[in-house]
Amino acid sequence: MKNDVLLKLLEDLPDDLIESAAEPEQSRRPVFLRYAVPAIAACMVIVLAAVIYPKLRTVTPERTEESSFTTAVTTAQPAETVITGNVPETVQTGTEAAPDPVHIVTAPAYPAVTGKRVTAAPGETLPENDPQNNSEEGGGPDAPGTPQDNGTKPQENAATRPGARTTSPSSTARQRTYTTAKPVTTRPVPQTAAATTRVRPATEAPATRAQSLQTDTPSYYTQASPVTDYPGEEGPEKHGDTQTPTAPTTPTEQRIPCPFSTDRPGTGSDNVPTPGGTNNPPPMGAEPLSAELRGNRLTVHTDGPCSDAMIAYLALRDHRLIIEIYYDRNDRSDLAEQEFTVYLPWEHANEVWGIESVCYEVDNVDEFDHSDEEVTLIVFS
Amino acid sequence: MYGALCRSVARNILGTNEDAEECFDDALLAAWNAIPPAHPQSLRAYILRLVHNHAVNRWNASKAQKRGGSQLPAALDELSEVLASRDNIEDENERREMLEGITQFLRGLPKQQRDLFVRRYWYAATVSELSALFNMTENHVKVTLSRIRKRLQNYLRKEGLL
Repeated sequence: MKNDVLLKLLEDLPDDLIESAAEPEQSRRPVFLRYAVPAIAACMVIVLAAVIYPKLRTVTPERTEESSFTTAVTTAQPAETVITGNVPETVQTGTEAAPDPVHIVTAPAYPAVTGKRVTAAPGETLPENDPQNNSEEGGGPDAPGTPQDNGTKPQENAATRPGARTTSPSSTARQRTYTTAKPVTTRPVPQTAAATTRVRPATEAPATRAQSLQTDTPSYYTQASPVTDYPGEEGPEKHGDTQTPTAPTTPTEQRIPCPFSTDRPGTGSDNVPTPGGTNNPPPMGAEPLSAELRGNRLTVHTDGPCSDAMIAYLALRDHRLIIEIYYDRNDRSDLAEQEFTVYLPWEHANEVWGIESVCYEVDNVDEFDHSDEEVTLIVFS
Repeated sequence: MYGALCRSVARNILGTNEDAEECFDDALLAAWNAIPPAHPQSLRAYILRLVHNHAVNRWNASKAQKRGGSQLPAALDELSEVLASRDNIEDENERREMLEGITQFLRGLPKQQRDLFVRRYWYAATVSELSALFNMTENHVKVTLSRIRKRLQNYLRKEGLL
């Protein structure tokens, strides 16, 4: 058919077809929608992943009902964070394997002098080997198998027993007795469970320190007191406590050779006190400590220049493990955070109840200017 | 209101903007003269038809001058291949039958294909324009038009018009 004939033929197409073709129907979605919808969906996925995924990763395990055994109430410790994981009942009996409880104690740097009291739930009955009761007794039985267990039993304070546990178990654990490497048997405990800089005094009465070691002084932790006041030198009546002072006993601290490191020389009785008192400001690099206990693995985090650090001291006393972390502050080669992991020398992780406190303590030692960190654990034997 | 559409039709048929503009002006003048007695149901279709007729007349007049740029010959060539067996339609009745057959065929098509067909062979739109207008690729437009022509041929044969 010729074009002109065909053209004439098409000229007479109905108006509705021409009108309809003036507004054609698009077969597909617009290009904008074709690409915008997947782009928006991808952005939403990315945003959700960026927001939700980190939260999912940081979700802590669901905390089940706390047993009275592990109930801890922390008071007057504004800057301290205590996270106590659940310890199942099987921990007490030791008949079943319990999941690793996680204990994280963060010790801030140099808070105000406050106290810390750890109490149990009302109506709680403590086991015979409760270290807190032992501490009230002025030094309870040592851990089994410890060579220096002299078996001394201080007189029991009837005013504080039995039942309600009202005093801090950490009160005695704040002090230490060196048996071999550190003839200065006791070390002044920081007034707070948080980080407190203390300088080991040059003259210290071992007997007095030992007495204070075995005597629970809860008021020491509940009210502010000068740093120069040593817990053992304060009578319970001084702070209104009804406990009777206990007789001085031989410190029951037992030193456990740490298989992971060696003692650093110069720590111990040869420490030179810092002039100007014991309330000196902390040295540079004294940063908060935090420790995390997972099973028998203790991880201590330091935020300061802690190079050449090592776990130098493990002491078990009154069911408490005291760990010192020595490091040389003169070494500025590594200013990054460091983390030390200690596998506690117990066969059963259940023996470790939790971290009682993380203390910061300075040993101003000769030219090395060593410092140590102290982590005190509550241990069940 | 319909200036762009009418100009595009005239431009596709004539191939130049100047001719399309003149054609559009002529169409408007014709509409001005014709509408008082006439009452078109669809003003847009009426004006489009005026523009189309004026453009075809102008294209026929300029065909001898070999002026290129028009899309109409290419479109008509595509369609004439389908209707090649029918060289000429002398009788008015045959022309009407053929027109009726094509109209019926187009009414039976989906709207998209029908619009595509009308746009291509009445509006004389280019393949690229159809591609943009219908959000289809040019190849898809060509294939679709080819299938419609094939179906039209089959339909007209079935109706005995070819």
